[in-house]
Amino acid sequence: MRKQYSLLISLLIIVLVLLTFLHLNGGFNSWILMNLTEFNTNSTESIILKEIHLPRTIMVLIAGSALSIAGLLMQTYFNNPLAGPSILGISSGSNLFVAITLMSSGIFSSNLSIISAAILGAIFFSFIILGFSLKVKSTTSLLIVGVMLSAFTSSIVQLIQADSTLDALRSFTIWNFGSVQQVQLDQIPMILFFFFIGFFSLIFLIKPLNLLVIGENQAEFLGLQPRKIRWILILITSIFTGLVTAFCGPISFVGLAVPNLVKLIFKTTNHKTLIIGTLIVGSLFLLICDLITYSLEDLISIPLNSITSLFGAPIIIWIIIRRKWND
Amino acid sequence: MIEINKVTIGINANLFSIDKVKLEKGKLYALIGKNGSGKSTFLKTLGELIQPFKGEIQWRMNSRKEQRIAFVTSKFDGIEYLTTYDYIALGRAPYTNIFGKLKSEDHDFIKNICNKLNINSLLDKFTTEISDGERQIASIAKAICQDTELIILDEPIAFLDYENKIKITQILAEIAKQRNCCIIHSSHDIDISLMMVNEILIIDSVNKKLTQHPIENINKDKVLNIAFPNDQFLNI
Repeated sequence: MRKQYSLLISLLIIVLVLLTFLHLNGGFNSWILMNLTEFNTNSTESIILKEIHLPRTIMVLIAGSALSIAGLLMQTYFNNPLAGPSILGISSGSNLFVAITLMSSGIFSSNLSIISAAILGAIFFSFIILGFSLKVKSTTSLLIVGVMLSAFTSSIVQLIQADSTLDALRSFTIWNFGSVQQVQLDQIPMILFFFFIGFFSLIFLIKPLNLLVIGENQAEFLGLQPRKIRWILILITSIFTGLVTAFCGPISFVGLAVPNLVKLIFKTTNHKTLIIGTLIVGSLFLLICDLITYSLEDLISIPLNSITSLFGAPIIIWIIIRRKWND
Repeated sequence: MIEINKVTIGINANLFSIDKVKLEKGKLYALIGKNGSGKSTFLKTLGELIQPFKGEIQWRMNSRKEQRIAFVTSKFDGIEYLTTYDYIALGRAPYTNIFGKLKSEDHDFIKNICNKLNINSLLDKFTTEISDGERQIASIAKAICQDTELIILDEPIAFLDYENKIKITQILAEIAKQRNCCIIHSSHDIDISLMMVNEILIIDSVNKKLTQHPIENINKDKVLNIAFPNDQFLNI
């Protein structure tokens, strides 16, 4: 069993590394890496590589992992394979808070204020969903609550938009596109910082998550402290969701689809394997999606969000169909 | 082991009171009572999930709750991609470190229990692939792996066929004796309980009392009379 896992994981890592180089190169249509004969900081190629391609590649890798892990944590906590940061409205919380920040201070908003707003928004909306989850026991009803929450939030965002300056509106619209292009090189350290905070806390979550698989009530009899774990899970999913939403805008379906794919591939509930798998497959998924936008870039410019939905939505429908649905 | 003196059970209202009940190690207890008489509430109180309505259950121990009490629910539907072995192994969680790593002693402990329960052939299967009866045995194995002095089971045989009902009650009786722990389960199968348990606890929902009866001093008529005192159809 275990040998199979490590083989599978190594294979996925190899594919990930290859695609990462392809992505760094700028997809199939570009020859940046080939033309880069010497690491001269002044050559056009290396400037493009460093200033444009590198931040985008790092952001894609991190966004894919972060969103997918957020989805995995939510699916385990809510005991619901269809949970995820976007469908439960957590991303829309980030969206709302960033909108308020951008509209009130416009182009002057700092990176830190945007990311803080995004994380706070995610935490705030996680608590709203958590409150509903105590009342609404049915897994599908909770998803409907999440969708309603998103709809409610987006109309509030529109109301804010209607009453804001042109500059603020412009910066919000660009941000709201859901793309990884506008990430700057100097933003990368902060993104990495928040990502690794979440990443290292995951190590301590493996045992509680494995217990949560059999439900919170049963897990409590095995020593799980539900209140403590709830707080930690909300904090980590919010950091992961907020981090991505702050720098890329809303990207949907990744958090929902990837953990389901990983469970299908690895066929286990052990979160040590699931977390490693989700980190890799998450990056891989978004990398492939962004490679598609790269190769279509000469023809049309499509937001990354529509590519992820294009793949994510059918995957979800397929998962619903093949499950024995019992509620 | 556990003495319950002058305690009233209930969440918001008084369901029934207990004058004196004593639970001892090495014995299997059956809890019998009407639907809605408060069996689950009593078991939850015993499992320290809820407080008694009045009074206090005397059970002074220093160790952590997860090392004292194991709880088995009436139905476990199985979980996708969770193997039976991994499910049973969760019972060792109170003894593992912060990362949940199972030591070789833990694996030996689990294998030993699975040998005794004769479920080695199930261990590699997913919990969704085995039968209701097998799942219930797996749940009991998990509870035994928790190595507690008290195991509480809420209607563990309610959803099983007659053969499995007998088999599982038998397993419970053997485990209580072999591992010297106290096992209490609620049940509607009075005949099976009379055959296999050491003592019966009966809830009289009219007089709102819980009484304790060693198996030697009781028969089916007595049980029915206490549990269903006003029901005339029993005399037909």
